[in-house]
Amino acid sequence: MNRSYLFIPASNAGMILSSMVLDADAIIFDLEDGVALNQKISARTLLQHSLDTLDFLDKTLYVRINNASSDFFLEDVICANHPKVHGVVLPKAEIKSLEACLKVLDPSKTILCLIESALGVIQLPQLCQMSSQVKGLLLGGEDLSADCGVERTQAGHEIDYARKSLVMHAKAFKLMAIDTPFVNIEDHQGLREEVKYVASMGYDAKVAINPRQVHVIHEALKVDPLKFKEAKMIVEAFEKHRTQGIGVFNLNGKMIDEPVYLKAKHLIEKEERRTP
Amino acid sequence: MNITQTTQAGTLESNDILVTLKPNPEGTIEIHLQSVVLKQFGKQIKAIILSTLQNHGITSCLCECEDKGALDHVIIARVESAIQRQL
Repeated sequence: MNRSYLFIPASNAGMILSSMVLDADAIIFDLEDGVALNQKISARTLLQHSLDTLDFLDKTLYVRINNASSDFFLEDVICANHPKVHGVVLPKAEIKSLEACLKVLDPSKTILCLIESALGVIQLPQLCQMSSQVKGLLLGGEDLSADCGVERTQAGHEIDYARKSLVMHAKAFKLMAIDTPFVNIEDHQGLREEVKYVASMGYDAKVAINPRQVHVIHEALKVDPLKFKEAKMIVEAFEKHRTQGIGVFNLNGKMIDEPVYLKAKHLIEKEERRTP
Repeated sequence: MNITQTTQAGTLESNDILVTLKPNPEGTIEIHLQSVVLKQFGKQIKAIILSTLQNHGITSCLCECEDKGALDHVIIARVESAIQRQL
């Protein structure tokens, strides 16, 4: 399971080259906001040649394509159909844009819906069910706050509803929940606190916009070793009791039943999937 | 195909190359290369530039390149983009 998704502007030859040795679990080559309007086609050409030539080892590669209503959309999707690319990040994901994407994207590719408009938030139930290619939801806090005409703050109260709604939909439809980038690149403590906060809500991963954020994200997503050990004990004890026909028991003064067992099992599985 | 206007692609950042295509009144392909690795790879870089131009049917141009250590695929991509901007 990917913990971090690092944006790399597809116009930057050096960053594309170095992305293969960075610690991020997944790389998102950005053809959209990270590329100036007059560099879009040139960036796509560079990305195509880079994909053809470079070996990105075990990195999961995504391409953030341009908006479905833009002139670049079709060629961007064709570029993202490259065999080395895992899928696309669909900006301004709404029913119409997802329909357009599904028409041209290779059926083997996955889609991460970037939820960054009020309409996108409202349409989450439909977006989650439109295609099995949709594997994740990604929150875009900057564009969402712009769409709502409100100021983006570090506290994030203006995106609170969207953040909670997104993770709940992701859980309901078994999709990855990926949190919005933390834009204050130098503030590692703030990033750490935000990652811990969203992880407590159920988010699986966070977007990084600078390679230096990746390590902070990975550290913050690590499960407390004591909690991990306790979860192992719970799972072991529950499975042992179950063979004896006991569904509820006391472990070190704590009542253990099926939901506690499932939660512990989930924590172990998640941590093991996260560990590279 | 002749280059009829000045177009540019690439940057002067590390691992990149800035390619400028201009019309050449002589009617030939002329490549001027500045590179941080000119002594080591100058011939190879020029050969890549020339073959990319020829592959796209270019028969006449003045090609000025400032290389900052671009790999082959970056050189090809930037030359192609400069050609594409002629269209």
